[in-house]
Amino acid sequence: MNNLWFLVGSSLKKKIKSKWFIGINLVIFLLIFFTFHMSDIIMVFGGDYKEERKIVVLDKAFVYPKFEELMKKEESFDITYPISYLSSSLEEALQLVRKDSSVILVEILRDEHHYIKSTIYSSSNVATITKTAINNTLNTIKKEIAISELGLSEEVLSKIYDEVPLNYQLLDFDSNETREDTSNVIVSVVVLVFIMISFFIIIHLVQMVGAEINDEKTNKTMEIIISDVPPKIHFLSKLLSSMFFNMIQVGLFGVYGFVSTITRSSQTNSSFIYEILNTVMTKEVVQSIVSILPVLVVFFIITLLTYAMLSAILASVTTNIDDFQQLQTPLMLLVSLGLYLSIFAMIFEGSFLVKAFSYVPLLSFMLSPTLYFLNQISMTSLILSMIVSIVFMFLVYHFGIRIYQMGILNYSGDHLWSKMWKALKNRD
Amino acid sequence: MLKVSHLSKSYGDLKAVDDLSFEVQDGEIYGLLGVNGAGKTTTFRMIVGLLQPDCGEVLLNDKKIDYSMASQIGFLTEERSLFTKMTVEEQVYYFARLKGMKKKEISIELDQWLTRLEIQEYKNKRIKELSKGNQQKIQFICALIHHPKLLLLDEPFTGLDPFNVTVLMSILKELAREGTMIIFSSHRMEHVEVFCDRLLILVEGKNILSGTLKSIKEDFQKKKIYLSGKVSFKQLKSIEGVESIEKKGNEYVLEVASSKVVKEVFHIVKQSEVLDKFMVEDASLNDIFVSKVGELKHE
Repeated sequence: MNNLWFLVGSSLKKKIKSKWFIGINLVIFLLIFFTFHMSDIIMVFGGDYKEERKIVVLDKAFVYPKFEELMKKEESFDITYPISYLSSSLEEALQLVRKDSSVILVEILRDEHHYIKSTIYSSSNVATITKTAINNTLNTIKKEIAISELGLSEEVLSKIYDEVPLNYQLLDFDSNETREDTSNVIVSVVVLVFIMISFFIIIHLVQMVGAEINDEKTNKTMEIIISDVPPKIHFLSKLLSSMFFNMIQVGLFGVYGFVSTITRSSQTNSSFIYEILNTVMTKEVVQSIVSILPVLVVFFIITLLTYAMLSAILASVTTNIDDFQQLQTPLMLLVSLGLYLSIFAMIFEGSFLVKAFSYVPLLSFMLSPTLYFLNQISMTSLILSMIVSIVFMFLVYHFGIRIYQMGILNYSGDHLWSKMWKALKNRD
Repeated sequence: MLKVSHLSKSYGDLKAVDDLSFEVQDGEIYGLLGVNGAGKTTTFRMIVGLLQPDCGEVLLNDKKIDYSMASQIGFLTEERSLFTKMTVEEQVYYFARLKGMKKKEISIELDQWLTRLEIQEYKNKRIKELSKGNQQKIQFICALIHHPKLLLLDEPFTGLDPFNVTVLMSILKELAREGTMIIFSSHRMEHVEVFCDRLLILVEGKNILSGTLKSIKEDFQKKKIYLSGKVSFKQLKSIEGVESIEKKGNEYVLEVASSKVVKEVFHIVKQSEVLDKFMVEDASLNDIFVSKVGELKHE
């Protein structure tokens, strides 16, 4: 057992001490940091998004208070709009614009056909974002005037503007319980993020395990190692070290995100990443994810272990890295198939084939949770799918270790299939 | 004591090792001789447990070898078995830890061995930066740093210059005096001749000859006679038991079947008018090896 942990530790140390690991993590950290601080960084370099423009309103339609209120709502991304009311003639106002290039004059007039009309005067180019803000504000004012002229009260107006309260209640036939349907938001963002991360982790794991075993075979250190530790221990050490490595890597991603969040939250203004998170991670969504988190974690570990085992077994029967690259292609295709099926599951809701695939080990990890979030399968089905994967993992271990024992000390590609078949039948 | 009994291993139709038996006593240096593909490496692999024999068994001090005995065995493979990206220290530490040694012990032993083999300056160098000979020395240290009871060396002197061969031989003799059983394979007869207490010649997986060097040479009847003088070539050729005659300058080199033939040759040549040289030499191990392998191939 000591040798197992020694091998796990050595393997982990080798991977973590590698200059590539350090370099790539530095790049990833910078990318995450950049993403979280994108608006700050963009603003450091300047641009017309943050022009300090004074908006002067020449209001002949008596809507200035509403205009000011609505323009304040348009303020975002560190952009503010200082607004003032001007009670002079247009000529005098235009003089002001000519004198000060930062002034934007907004002339608002009543209009028979469109309730209001407006002209914007400026002696320099007005940023698109500012134009959009003014446009949105004027459109909203126009709607309010229209509704008001119809004689509607504030209360009625408020009700008209409120969104329709819409609750989804999904009946779970297995548990006779209902759960809130949060599918739209989750499917669009969370599930995609989840399966993409899983996809990259599995691909990384398959290549890492295979390369390490192949390296030990190529430099013949395998003979010395296997003369000291049983192949089973060696096999387990490779699985555990790659698992731990991936967990460390995922943990580091979390740390990078946390550090980026901490440094960002010290500033008062929001950034678009927070706006996305606030939009997506609603209370319902978070509750929904947390409720199946234990299942997801177990499912993830099982699938990762199974892929690592298959990769180790394939690497053990190859004699060089080129052969392994070829032999791992089916595994890569399987992972990709899982990813594509998960995406198709969102398009072809209710597909029987996709549901059937959600029970197929190696694919089910990406597919089943997606279908669950899409409310196409129940929790029971999700757990059943996981149980199938657990059984499959044990079968892979039980039979795979026999091939592994034969493969790691085999340096010839001759009669490989018959050797593998013979090893499978060997019960020692 | 290591006891190998009736060990056999086949790869398909090829019989790599065929009913091989031998014993190695504590403190003995045992040589396995054979041409490439004779079954030496397969034998080593079965002894350390890398390969399961089709039949037969290997006992170390009357116990079947398994992983619980790994720390009592040292193994040096024929090919380089090193992590080229590791430093010398990391590499030795890695293998020594697998043998159950503690960090402090490893550190002390490593420094001693590096000093003894005069490569202490390479301690923090990567393996790939070392010459072939120095890599072999590192592999050698890895095999014996834990003071094994049984040391298996597959072609240990490959890539080493004569000076370093002598250094390693003296170390191995020292280990043998301390009680270590050493089995080593080679196809370099001169190494075996000066080094082994007992040896075994493998041909196509079979033991065709084994015993002490002295007994093997004694059992091998053939001798070589170097003579010069006024001797009749025809007369020499007519003697029964003279297998070949080769003229090298003024000298004849005769290969004769036995000591009895030597006497006959001497009896004839002493009657010559001039006899400058008459020297009898036992067959070298190389001669014995070539002769035995040749005999088998002709069968």
